[in-house]
Amino acid sequence: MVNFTVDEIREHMDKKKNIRNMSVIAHVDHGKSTLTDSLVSKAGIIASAKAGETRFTDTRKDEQERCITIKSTAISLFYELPEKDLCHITQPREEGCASFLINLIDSPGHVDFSSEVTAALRVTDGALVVVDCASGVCVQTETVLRQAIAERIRPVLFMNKFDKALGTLKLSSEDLYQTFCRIVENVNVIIATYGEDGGPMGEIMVDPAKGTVGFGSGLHGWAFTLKQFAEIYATRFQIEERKLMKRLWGDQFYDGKAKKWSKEKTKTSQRGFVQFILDPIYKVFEYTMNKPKEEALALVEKLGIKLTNEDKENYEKQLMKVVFRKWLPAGDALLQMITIHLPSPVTAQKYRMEMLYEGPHDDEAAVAIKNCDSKGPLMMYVSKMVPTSDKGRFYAFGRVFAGTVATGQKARIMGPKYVPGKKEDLFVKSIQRTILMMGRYIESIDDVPCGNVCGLVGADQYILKTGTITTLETAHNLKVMKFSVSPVVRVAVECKHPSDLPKLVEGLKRLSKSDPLVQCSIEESGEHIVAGAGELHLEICLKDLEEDHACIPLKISEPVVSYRETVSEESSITCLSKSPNKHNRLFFRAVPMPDGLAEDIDSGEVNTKQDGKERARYLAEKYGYDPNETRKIWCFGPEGTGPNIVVDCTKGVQYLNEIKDSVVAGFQWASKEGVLCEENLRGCRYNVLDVELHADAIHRGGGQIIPTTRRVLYAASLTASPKLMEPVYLVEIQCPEAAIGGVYSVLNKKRGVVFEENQVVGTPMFQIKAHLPVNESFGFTSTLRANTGGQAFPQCVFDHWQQLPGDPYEPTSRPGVVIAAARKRKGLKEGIPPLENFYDKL
Amino acid sequence: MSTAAFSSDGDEAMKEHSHLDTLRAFNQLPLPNDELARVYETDRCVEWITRNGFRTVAIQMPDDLLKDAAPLANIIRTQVDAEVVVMADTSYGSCCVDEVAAEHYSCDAVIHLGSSCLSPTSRLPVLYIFRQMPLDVADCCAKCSALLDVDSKILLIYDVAFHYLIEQIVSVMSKEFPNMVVATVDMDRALAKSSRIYGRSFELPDGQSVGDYSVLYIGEESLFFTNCIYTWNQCTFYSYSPEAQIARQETSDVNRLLMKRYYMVEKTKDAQIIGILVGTLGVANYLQVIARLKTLIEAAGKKSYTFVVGKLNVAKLANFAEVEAFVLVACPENTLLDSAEFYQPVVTPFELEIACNPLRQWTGDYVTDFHDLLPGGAYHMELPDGPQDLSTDVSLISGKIRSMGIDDAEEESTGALIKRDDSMAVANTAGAFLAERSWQGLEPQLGQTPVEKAVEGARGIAMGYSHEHDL
Repeated sequence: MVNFTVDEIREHMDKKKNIRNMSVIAHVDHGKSTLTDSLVSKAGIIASAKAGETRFTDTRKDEQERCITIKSTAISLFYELPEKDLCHITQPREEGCASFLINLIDSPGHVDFSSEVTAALRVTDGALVVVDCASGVCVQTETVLRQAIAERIRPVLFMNKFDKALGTLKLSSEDLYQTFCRIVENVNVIIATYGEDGGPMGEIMVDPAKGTVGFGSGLHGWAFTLKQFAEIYATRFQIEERKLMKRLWGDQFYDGKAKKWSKEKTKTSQRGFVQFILDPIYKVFEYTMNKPKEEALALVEKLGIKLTNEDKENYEKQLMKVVFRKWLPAGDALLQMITIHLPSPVTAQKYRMEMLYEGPHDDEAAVAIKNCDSKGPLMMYVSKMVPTSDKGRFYAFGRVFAGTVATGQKARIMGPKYVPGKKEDLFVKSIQRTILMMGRYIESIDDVPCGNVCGLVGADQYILKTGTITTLETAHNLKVMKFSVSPVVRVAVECKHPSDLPKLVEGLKRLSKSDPLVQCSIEESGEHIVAGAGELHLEICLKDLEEDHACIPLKISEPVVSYRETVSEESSITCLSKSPNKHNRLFFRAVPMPDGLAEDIDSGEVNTKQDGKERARYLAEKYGYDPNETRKIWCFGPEGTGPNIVVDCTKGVQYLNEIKDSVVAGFQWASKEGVLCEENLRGCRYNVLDVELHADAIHRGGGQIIPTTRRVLYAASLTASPKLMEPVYLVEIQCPEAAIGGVYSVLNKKRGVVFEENQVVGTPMFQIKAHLPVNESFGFTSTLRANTGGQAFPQCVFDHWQQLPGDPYEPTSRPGVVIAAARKRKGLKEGIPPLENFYDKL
Repeated sequence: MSTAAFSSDGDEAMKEHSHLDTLRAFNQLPLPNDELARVYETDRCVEWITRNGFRTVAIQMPDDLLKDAAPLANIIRTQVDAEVVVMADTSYGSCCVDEVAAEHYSCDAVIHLGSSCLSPTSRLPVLYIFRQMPLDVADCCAKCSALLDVDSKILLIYDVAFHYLIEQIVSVMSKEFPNMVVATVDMDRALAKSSRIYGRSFELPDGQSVGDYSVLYIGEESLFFTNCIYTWNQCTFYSYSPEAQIARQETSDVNRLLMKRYYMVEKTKDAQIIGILVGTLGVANYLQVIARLKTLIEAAGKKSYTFVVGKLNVAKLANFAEVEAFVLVACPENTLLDSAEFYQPVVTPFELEIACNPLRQWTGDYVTDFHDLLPGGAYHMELPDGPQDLSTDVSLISGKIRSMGIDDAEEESTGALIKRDDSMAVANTAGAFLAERSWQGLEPQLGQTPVEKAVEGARGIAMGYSHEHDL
């Protein structure tokens, strides 16, 4: 631990080139938090006043109990790089300063909390990707790595649980090398898939020979990169460290007799990595665990490891731990890797600006971000809200990308819906207080320059979950984060007494602030809905809601899935609806969207802001839409951006432009509450075929058109063979071979479809990938464990929407049952409303 | 939950006409004279007119009783020395006395016939005649006894149509249920009783509240009964339907109903522009309520518009797309509009107060009579002094940050050159809404459109033009 005063930390914040903002990301149970602990104990900064108090990272009781990280936690580290290693840093650094300020964010590994990872990635420039070398690259490793690459976060890799490979798996050294190789390859495949070739980040593949891959055991507190060993052998071989590192990885064989390196294996030569790294490690392991203590100590001495007398008292496992920790201390290896290979804000913001900023890339704000200019206009992104000890209040945590944020400064606080020049989602307020956040402690600080992370007090009133804070009036927003998970599992919560309603609503508001992903809403039926990524996520959210936020007894419904309504054919007839005064007629047809278009709209590939011609061209090329029609897309919906569209296919209709706004309003309404059971629509295209309007403007106002549009859209849906869509998880299950049968039988029962099964090479574990409807996933984990003797562990992440097979009109069919239940829950009339309600005859 | 009394639109009226039952009702012969005199208590009418010496008297009939109007007027006219006019097709609910229409005929008194919400009026003296409906007292008593525990505390309420029988009912029932309290119809507020609601008064024993009671309602399903369910939402409700002769426990989940109303409150908080709908011109003090609502809305940093649209329907309100919520000022029976068809939410003055008055909290109590909100009313709450300071919270409906109150700081920071007046301080006005619209009015496009010959338009009525019948 390093003791610092706030002033000392503040001083360091100005040395931007010596700052590293990084996150630790990995699959669940791959050992991030344990690894982080060993870093914190080595280099964690605590303010002098707080020195001596207990652990840093345990912020929540339930995190401890469940042994799982739920919220991401930021910690600052301080590291002084040895003088001789400064030359390894290729990016610009502060002259005459070898000390580094590292802001590290430990993130949760469970998929349900991956929104926390997204938030962590946004404020950092580098990522330490941790992989359990026994289980290899898993689904969540891939997800978070993909996100990191998309955010232009430079990765370094750490192979954790080396001890397990030595002790439990007992792999031969060559096999272990091969395992490492495969993991590096797998990681690089992901990087290559999602990275840009020749992108501005340069080479981002990880390579042990370059020192961007670490090995070790977080649990036992030891780690190394090839650099550590190269240092040891450099004098012996009289080769430069950097050159030697290349020899220690890949097909580089050393012939001890001939004292020669070659690229081919011969009888007398051995792989460099095996000979110089693994063999000594195996030997130390073997000696400390199984040989008489004297022999072990002799070996230890030979290696130049200094043990205290107290250390020497230990036996076997304890001795082994101590020896390794002294020999290859984790802190040094990791911190070297981090400071040398991860980018400083100055380096990173040069290429990250265009990914971060919504506005033109040459305006004042953009230039300031690009240059990481602390004298430029303030640009700060608030990525999450951290609860304070004061109930219902939050610290706004984020990264300063440009300028300096200071206590008392007047700033513009802009929400995600802010549009430059308009007042919506904008507040001009003074910053009450800027603070440093260190684990669970906070310290006031006068100002924080760009390149750093910090917290703000008081801004939570004006920010929902995320926002941009700036001093520049013309500044655009920093881009909103895209989450890899969707809130597809929902429950309705109800208070026991109606008088508690305001408390429930207040509690829901607080909950929605405290979690980046959770969605709290009130539906028209009066239901209060909490939606989360999965069962575990919801469970944690509801517990927080009941105990911390609302503080009232709650009734919680069974989890339900949110469905989507869609159409599967073109409307069988052109649908007509007449306005209440009968003077206006609207003629519509519904058509299903071609596969992939709804996803394109979700991802923003096709959106409202696009240039109409450009969009028309894209749609024509990819989906064969007639460009003349798609140039006249009136709107997307629901919420103006959803995956449904209205296309004007009329020819020469008078006054048509007058009713456009009313049609759009009616469409937003109808696409939010579909005809089957008032769920959102998805993948529907509505064509306006013809419109007859009254000649008098007063008789074709919104009052006539809005309700009529809703009716005609309902009619169009009903005649286009309406269907329901359900969300589907991608589930990845790891289990031993014996349990595979059990996994298949559970998946079969739950409508799961396996699409990939393979053995994790070098281990007896199998990896099964399947699609599983979210609706069937409730209790899936426990059923799976019960059926496999607790040997199979699933990870579910939302993947796509799929049509729910069956006729919605058949009351016993799956969609029929879902519709009936949803209508009942929402207090709607029984049964899908008949076409006659909406379709008018001439 | 019927709202038809208020939101009937032309379309429904058309359908009703074609409906066989209603057709019969409209064509039905009026009741014979002796029956007429009994049901409508003509003697009482005559006596009241003569005693007060009125010169011109209006008889206000609900539409479904119109068939009796002419003979009834004749009967009365022959017995008094006064002009008698018949009023129908009221501008608002037929339960309210239409004073304005009566004044058009320079009437100095109104006789209100049929079901009534018993709202106090301000301008003219009114006589309520409830139209007596048949009820089998013995059956009612027997069915209710079977349903209810004899020892239970019961608050008896009833539809006005059975007011004439109430003494008879009470005398029989109170034998069965010693702990019964009756809420008597009390139009003139003559009875000196402690609790008064919806024109009824009752007196509970000391130290007890309505929450301790079960409520028994005699009558058909009505708006009055719905209102009682909302108001006394902690009570268990039982009802006896005289027509079907069935007594049962009410099953509607009042918690659900209140949650739905709370959704409306939240939606009103979101709204920047609120329309005040004038749904009565007869209920006393409606002007005070409107004034109070205007002050409240302005203090909350929102903008209000006042609308007088007569009977409400979906199409009328949807014409004002810029208005994000409506508040309906009407008699207690009609103020609660429970319909998902409306494009914008329509709330009661009480709900608007919860949304906009920071001093008022939602406690689970529900008030539909706006008199309770005015100074002197049971639920009166002071208005905040002057404009509220800006406060923000999250809307769980739109998922956005919304603000309440007026932000002084923001005005100053925008550096606008013109000092705008107070009513313009609101961020969202109808003007801003118009600016957002893609179509903002007629575009002359002179010379840009080709000249065309006039063509013949459609003929006939909108239900189906003449050329369409051929299709």
